[in-house]
Amino acid sequence: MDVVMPRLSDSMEEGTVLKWLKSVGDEVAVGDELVEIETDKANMVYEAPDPGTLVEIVAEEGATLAIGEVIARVGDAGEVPSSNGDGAGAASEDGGAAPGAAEGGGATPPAATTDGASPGRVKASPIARRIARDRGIDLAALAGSGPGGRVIKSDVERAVAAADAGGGTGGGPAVVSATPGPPPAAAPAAASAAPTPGASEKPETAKGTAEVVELSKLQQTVSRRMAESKATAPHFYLQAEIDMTSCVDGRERLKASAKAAPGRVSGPKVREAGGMPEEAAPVVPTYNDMVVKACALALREFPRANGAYRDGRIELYSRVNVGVAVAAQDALVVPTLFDADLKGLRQISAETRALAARVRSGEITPPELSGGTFTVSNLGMYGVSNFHAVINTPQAGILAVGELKQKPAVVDDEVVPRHLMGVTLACDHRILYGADGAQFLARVRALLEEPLGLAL
Amino acid sequence: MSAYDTIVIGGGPGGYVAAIRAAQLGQKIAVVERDKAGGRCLNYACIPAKTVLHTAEVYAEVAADGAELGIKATGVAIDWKAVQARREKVSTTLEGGVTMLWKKNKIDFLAGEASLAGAGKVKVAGSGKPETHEAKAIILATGSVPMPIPGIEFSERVIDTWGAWSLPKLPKALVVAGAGASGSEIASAYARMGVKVTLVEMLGQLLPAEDPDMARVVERQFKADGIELMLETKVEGVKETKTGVTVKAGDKDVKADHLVIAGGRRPDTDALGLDAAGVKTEENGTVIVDDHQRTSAEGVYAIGDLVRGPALAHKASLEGEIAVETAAGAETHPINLNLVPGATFCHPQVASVGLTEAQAREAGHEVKVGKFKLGGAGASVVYDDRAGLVKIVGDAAYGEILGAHIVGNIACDMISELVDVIALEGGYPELARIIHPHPTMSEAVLDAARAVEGSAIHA
Repeated sequence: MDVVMPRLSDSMEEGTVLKWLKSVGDEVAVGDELVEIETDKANMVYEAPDPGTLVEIVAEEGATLAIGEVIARVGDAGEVPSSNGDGAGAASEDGGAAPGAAEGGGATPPAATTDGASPGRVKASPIARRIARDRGIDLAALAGSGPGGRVIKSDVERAVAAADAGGGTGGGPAVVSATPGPPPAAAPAAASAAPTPGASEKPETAKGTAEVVELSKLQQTVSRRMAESKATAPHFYLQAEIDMTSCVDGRERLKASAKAAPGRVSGPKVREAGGMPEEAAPVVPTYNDMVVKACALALREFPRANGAYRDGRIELYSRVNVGVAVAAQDALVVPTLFDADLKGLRQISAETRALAARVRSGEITPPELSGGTFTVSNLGMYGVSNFHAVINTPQAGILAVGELKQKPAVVDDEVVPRHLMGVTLACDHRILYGADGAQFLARVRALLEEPLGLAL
Repeated sequence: MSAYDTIVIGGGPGGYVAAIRAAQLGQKIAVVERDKAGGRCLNYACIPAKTVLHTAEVYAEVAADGAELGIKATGVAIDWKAVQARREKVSTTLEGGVTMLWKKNKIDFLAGEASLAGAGKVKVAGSGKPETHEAKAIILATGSVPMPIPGIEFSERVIDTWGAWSLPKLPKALVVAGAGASGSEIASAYARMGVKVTLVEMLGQLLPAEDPDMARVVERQFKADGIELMLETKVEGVKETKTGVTVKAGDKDVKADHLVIAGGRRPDTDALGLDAAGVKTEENGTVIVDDHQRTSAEGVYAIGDLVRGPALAHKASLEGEIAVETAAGAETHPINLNLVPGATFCHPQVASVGLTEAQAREAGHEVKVGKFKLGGAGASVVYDDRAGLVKIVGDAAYGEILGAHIVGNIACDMISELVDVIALEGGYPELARIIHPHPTMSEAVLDAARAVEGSAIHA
């Protein structure tokens, strides 16, 4: 029984085997932790899908393989090869190499192994498959223009051109998946495992020594998605200065009451939501939590802001799931607060903290990173007064939140100190137009300036 | 006067198919045809040619190869009257088939000459009073007519291809001008029936449109059949006598019963009144269409020999389907002219699709070629048919097949498989692993696909 590289997230195209948690000859039961895999979003433990004996490990630790490629075999104990000369075992899958498989990283045996194994077979021509594999294009993500939606060569070529134009995958060797069943000794350098993330070399150039840092999977994804977003989504920006004075007052009162009743504020729900670091400490929502809640409520009222532009059509979502950008080590991760419009501020606050902690500890899982319908990004803590964020496509918009600061403001013809906060809403003009975006932003602002609504 | 959804002008392989397809889409259809159902292909060109060629094939095989096959054949001779009678019978049978299909699909057959008579109107001048009919869509499918060579007129002795296939008497000698598909077929058929044939071609290659590797195989057979091939030679003039012609080809005078002009063809649009209808054409008369066969006039479509691309019946048929599907608002896909197979029925046959090796190199592909001689396939020995070659032109980058070329006795049937593979975007790696029945000539295709990677089994 072949164990193949699983699809562990929506956008995953390939994965890297980090660590085998079982050895050849080990018995495995369904659900046993088998292997740790690095995806474009996170490191995951993959559980054995079939019971039996781990007969063979095909993908060595560090190897990067496309979804559907065989990584190991599970079978009867008798099939375990003797320790002599088992290195060649990995290559046997391809048999006497088909004429087509003789050369080129993209060449595959006629019956492409990737199809049969992955659920929901993509209809695509053999040539389209080979180009896609070579250039790192996900066939499942393409709309086929052939009869019955079959993906044909020209569809893949268009995707390649788009990726190239977007400065995306570019087809460089970094994203080309390894050949099936890589026998370590025979694998050419380019086809061997992806470079170790963070590993660096220092060639001499006219600019002095250049430290070349290889991108991790996650960094590759971030760079590709951001470039694609800027290249394909027409961004426009709406700026506003929000008077947060009422929020500040309200939060001060919450803080005071939390101090007065330590350990009592956090309800059982909060704990359920996921391992708060300091369980006993009462939760006082941050200003960002308030922004998230305000956005969630406004998103409910402005369906287009809670939609996506996809393949020339607009999708409007029934759930309001707000992504909160969190800076992780060398990367940007956006965990999702599901149904944020239905959750109280306290719950939002607790969940956000828990998610951020899991991001920093690397325990976050792909389901917690997907499904967002809008994003909030906050750099106020760094003293940034205002900034423009890149839309996390295919979402319609992203709210960039700057520093909250006391500034002179004119209220009732008098200059008075107020707590002001600069925000910028970036909109994808294909779905969210100027007036719509402005009304949405006005609603967010109104909710924050008169924050009683957030508590409802 | 009647009102139709679509009127198809011309009942040839483009028009009759278009009409049936339109009827399948639930439309009310009429076909206007001034002559016979099935048009030129069926009555004057493809079908008569293949019928006579078949006789030549069988005759030559029995006469020349009978002993080898264990047939004692004495007194084998061509009965030209019977050949012509069969030729006519085949066309009549097929013509009846087309008429039957029209009836079955409730298509009106309007006999007469059609012309465009204002937006959505077609005038039909038949035996009675001219009538004007209305249609939402009009498909122009009137085909092409042969062009004479400048300075030479058609006559009883200077004939076109139809004239060549319908000769009242088996000639002693023929000069054929033009070594393209039609000229080569005529030369081959008559030479194999014992006629002295001189084949004159302006360009430097027999079958100039084909890959030179294919032409070379044909040339060898033509010489064996006694055809005198004059390449890079022009027919400068012709003198007619009572009994024949003297053709000045280059600096030689060649005597023959007839001069056959198998040169170019031009769109047959004289009667249509294109200018008045606002249908734009190129200078050479080709009707300008978009990739859905729409002309510059609203509701008017054109297909087949009238438009760009090779003048081939099978290409016209698909364009007919595309045109009526477009007119009916049904789903359709534009024709890919690169996938129109060429088919020449001389002996041996030549069939091809896509790019020649030279074209592929010129286009900058990473060309990889697989060749396999038919003699390597077991079946070729069985059928005593060893001359021939399958050549696959591939792109090494993704294993794509850019072109395929076959020369051999059943090449025109064998090419279909390669058209399919290319159209479905399979590559030579896939083809090399597709099981072919044994023993058949198609196994040569399999080995040619293997040969691209240098792994032909029987080479």
